[in-house]
Amino acid sequence: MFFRILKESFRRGAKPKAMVGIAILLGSALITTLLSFTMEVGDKIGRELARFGANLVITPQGASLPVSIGDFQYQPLSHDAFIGEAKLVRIKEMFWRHNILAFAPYLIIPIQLEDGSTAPLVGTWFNNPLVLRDGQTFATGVQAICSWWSITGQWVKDNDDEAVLIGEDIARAKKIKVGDFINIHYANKREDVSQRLRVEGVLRSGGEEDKQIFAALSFVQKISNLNGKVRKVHLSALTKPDDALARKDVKQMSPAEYDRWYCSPYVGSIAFQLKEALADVDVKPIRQVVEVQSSILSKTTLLVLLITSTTLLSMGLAVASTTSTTILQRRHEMALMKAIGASNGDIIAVFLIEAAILGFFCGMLGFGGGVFGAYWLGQTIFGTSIQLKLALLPLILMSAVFTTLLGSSVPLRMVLRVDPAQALHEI
Amino acid sequence: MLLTLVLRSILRRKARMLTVLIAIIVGTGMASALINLYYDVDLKMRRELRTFGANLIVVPADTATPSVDHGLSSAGDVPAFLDAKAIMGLEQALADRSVQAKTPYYYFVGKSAASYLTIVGSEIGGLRRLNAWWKIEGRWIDAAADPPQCMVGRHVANQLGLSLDQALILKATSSSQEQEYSLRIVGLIETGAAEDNQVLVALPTAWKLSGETGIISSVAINALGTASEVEHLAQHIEAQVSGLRAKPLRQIAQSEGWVLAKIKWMMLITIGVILIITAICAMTTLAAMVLERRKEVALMKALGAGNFKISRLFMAEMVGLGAVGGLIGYLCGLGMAFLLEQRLFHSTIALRPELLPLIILIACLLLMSASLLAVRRALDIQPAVLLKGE
Repeated sequence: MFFRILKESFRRGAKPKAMVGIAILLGSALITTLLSFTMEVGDKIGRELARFGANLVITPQGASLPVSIGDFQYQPLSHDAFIGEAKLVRIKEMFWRHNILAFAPYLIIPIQLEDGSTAPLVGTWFNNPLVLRDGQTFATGVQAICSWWSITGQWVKDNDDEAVLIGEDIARAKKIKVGDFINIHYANKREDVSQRLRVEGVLRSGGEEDKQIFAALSFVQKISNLNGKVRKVHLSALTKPDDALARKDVKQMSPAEYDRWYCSPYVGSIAFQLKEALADVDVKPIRQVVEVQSSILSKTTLLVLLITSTTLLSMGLAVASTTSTTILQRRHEMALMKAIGASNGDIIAVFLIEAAILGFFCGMLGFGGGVFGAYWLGQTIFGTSIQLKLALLPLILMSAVFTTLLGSSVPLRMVLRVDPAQALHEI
Repeated sequence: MLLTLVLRSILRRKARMLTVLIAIIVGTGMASALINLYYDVDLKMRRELRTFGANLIVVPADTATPSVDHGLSSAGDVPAFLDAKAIMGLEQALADRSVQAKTPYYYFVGKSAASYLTIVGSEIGGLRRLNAWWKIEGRWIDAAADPPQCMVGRHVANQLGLSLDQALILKATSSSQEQEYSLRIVGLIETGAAEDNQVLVALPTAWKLSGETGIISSVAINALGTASEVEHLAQHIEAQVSGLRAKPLRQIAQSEGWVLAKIKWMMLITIGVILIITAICAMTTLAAMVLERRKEVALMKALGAGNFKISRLFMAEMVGLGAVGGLIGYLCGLGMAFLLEQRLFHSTIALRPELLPLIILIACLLLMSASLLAVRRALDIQPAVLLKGE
């Protein structure tokens, strides 16, 4: 009997249920979308934040103090410590390798231009393919790390020994255009090197790069006779904003705290492990970038969380109100059931189980819709997909069923007090 | 008790209207909170980011060949200095502009017992406003203290074996007689950038050490605004004062616009989805409302009301509801935006009265489109069939 009533109710009263169903479906779809989004927003925004540039700098241990006036570097008297270029592949092989988004080595030498003036020549990777131990290649360099550079012309190829990028200030002062040739001279300890180079592009960054000339690292190593050596490495890593634990002194941490610190991608622990992996280097966070990134990251995560929770609340309200509307509409039905002898308990059971079934199935459909929604949102905003989070399914189902039950139970309480004689008279 | 009261009133005559009203208040409230936030997030986030250093550097237009040669070879021409006239001109050019902080820098090469050092003189108050994020061990320089104080970069301290409260002995290099100055180290700076390799002193101390006066190497400016606004400010400075180059620092400015655009995109999409759901919820309730009022409609039709008149009645009701719901929603949204922004930026929101008509318009349009289905159903009612039973 009970199941027949339920079956008939779904068969005959499909229309009002469809409305409630659509509301639940859309509500749970939106919530699935927002929650999957919230769970990944830290990672996604973090990747966007890599645009702010390198947040770690690696220098050889014992590097002498550079002397500079503003952007202008004096050459240190002694050519001191370097980092081996061959070691750099270890950066992508250490524990936090997946958090390393990009890095670029630098080797800077002072060269002479034709008119006798000097300028720094910077050897770097532009987009150098690095072969990792597992056979994969990882292409990285300034092109990935300095997204704010604007280039007139083209980037230099990493195997091109005859092309350079030239800083805007030099280009302006010396009236050099893209496609021109420049002659450079460099006296290393053994010989005088002269080379004719093609200007592949003019670089504008707003920083000291505007006064520098960029060439492939291998070329600069060759003319300076510093094969396989680099002076410093800039590195962009995906990090977690510093919290109380990260600000603690490593030496004062308890073993449990230390493990947690070591296994969290704080900028400090990544620096620590880079130092372990590379040996004989100093790794320092570039504070300005780190602070900007963590400020944006924590604000954005909070923003998304607040949006999600308020949306959750209003969705619950909207779905509950729709559900109660349809229940109120069926008070004649209830009055009839009462009139032919159903107890309040019977009626409540019928309506609540109806609501639960509706909530369950529409919540399920809504979850499916939400997975697509999250995928689409990820593609639209970040250009990458957001992963399917099966862990959310029980949560979504529970909240869908709960909201429908809540929406039903409040009007049910009112309706049950209705006098059948009076209600049936109204028809 | 309150819930019972509210529900009682819902059960009475205008039950449906109230449900619709609640739906529309919740929907427009959320939307208006997000719209408020949407307008504010840009400015607030930029202001927040502006606390992380300068975005515009003013330097002399010409360079000079190195004049100070201490056995160091230079990799490029050394910049000329900004003189008092250029500084005055810059001050005037910036007078009516929104500049949050600015500070002069004066660089020269100093010599300690062990090595050459880059010495930076700056106006400490401005420097501190510009770089509040610096990681400092110890404290900032007190410019008035005697003996003069200095802060040293982490790398300098490590290399020279310096620590807090020690004295750093510098030889004055440019004066004719060899004179030694003792600076008290009050702070260690760690930024991961050039500052780690420098010694920082107050500007007057720097002039005393180098034997120069009234000249500076550059001015760092923290201007509020988007990347293109900063670009305009730079052009304005270059046009107003000759002999200057103003260079926007693009690293942060470019990228921040990009990240902000993503966040705003996300908010827009959320606003859209919330409004759609509100419309669907309103649609359900409105359909139920028409079902209940079908006798009323039938009677109107029987008395000679045309389709137009009936639609007009319904639409007028929707506009009324929309106006009331939109107004309450706007106020609720304002409250919600206020709470959100307190939590996010620790600041209050800017009141935007111009949003009120927009919110009300959205509410009305939403309700009118949600009621289309219900109205069509009402228009299909056959009075004769319905009224027969009476």
